[in-house]
Amino acid sequence: MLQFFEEFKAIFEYASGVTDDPPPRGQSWMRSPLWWGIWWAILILLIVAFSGQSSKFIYIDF
Amino acid sequence: MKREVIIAICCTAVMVAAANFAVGRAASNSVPRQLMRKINAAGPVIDVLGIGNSLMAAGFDPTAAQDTFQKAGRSVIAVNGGLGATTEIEQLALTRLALRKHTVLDLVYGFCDLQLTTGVPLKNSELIGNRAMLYYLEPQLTLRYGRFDLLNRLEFQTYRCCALLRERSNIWAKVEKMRRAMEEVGMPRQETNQFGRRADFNLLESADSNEFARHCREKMTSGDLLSPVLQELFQEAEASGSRITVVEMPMHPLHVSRFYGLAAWKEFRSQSRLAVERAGAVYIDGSGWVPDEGDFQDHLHLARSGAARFSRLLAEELLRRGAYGAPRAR
Repeated sequence: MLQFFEEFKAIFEYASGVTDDPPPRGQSWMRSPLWWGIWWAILILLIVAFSGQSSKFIYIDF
Repeated sequence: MKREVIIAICCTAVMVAAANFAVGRAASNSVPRQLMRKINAAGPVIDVLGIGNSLMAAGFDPTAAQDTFQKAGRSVIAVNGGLGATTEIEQLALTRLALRKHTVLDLVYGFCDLQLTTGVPLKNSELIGNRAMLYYLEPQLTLRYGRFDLLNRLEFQTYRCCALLRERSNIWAKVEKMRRAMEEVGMPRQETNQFGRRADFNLLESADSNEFARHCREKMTSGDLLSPVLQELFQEAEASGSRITVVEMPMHPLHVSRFYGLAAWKEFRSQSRLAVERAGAVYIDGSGWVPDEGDFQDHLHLARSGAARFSRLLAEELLRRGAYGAPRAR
């Protein structure tokens, strides 16, 4: 379990730019440019979904 | 390294384009588009077309109005073109849509308080929810009347081209519903109606009667009683041969007692009436037509029973004006 959390932490630290070193083992896919493309797209879509709302946003009839 | 970055950027672009397409497709059944389809699908003649914001959307019951006309020997088609959370620009665009494709005999414009006057300048960030229709239904009207600054004008043109930006509030609505559901975990459920949380609509009323009276006086001093957008709406309807009725929508008894007894409001109303009549429309004060609290779903919007009651009275008023010709066979 502890190892799972350590790997999980390592993946997110690499993906979020905390470290330049990819996770030690079994994560070679994270070096792929396709992975980076997908990750950036996910971040862009999360920003669109969660940013920009104001407190006046009260009508939900759509 | 350079090649890898280009591949990553291309992959991102493909995914964002796919999301853009998906959001565009998902928005094809949004509330404004449903309303546009409803207006387009009406027969060649619309006898009574209700236009306005959520007060009209909730308050006008076409079936009750049609039944009242039917009892008087008149077979009519009534359409509710009211759309929640909109201002007069969206309402002008919807009116023009109806006038382009149909003959509208009676156009009924519903409003409350100071909604006939000019609102504040638009910001692109405010075009969310039903107001997003301004991006795709006659955007030139928004550019003409929105009083955008340069930055907002640029944003508006950019957002128009991209479904992910244009329909962003469809995504936000889902996020907001999820947030509200999480907020209610372990808490009493908040009361909602067709437009959202019931309590939120208290925020749309003036904070107190002094503020309301001050707004009335400011508008009278500035002479801003009928906004240029509504003037165009009435002119276009009149040019198409429609009769125009401007009706003060029924308001909650508390709202009526709190604000409509003020001297400033009475004076403002009489000046508004004159401005409306100068524009060639008939002014009806229906604010007190539904005095029962039980006929309202919140402080502003009529419940179904109230809508039926208001619509019957409105139809009787239109009949009393006697403008209807010989009964038409359908």
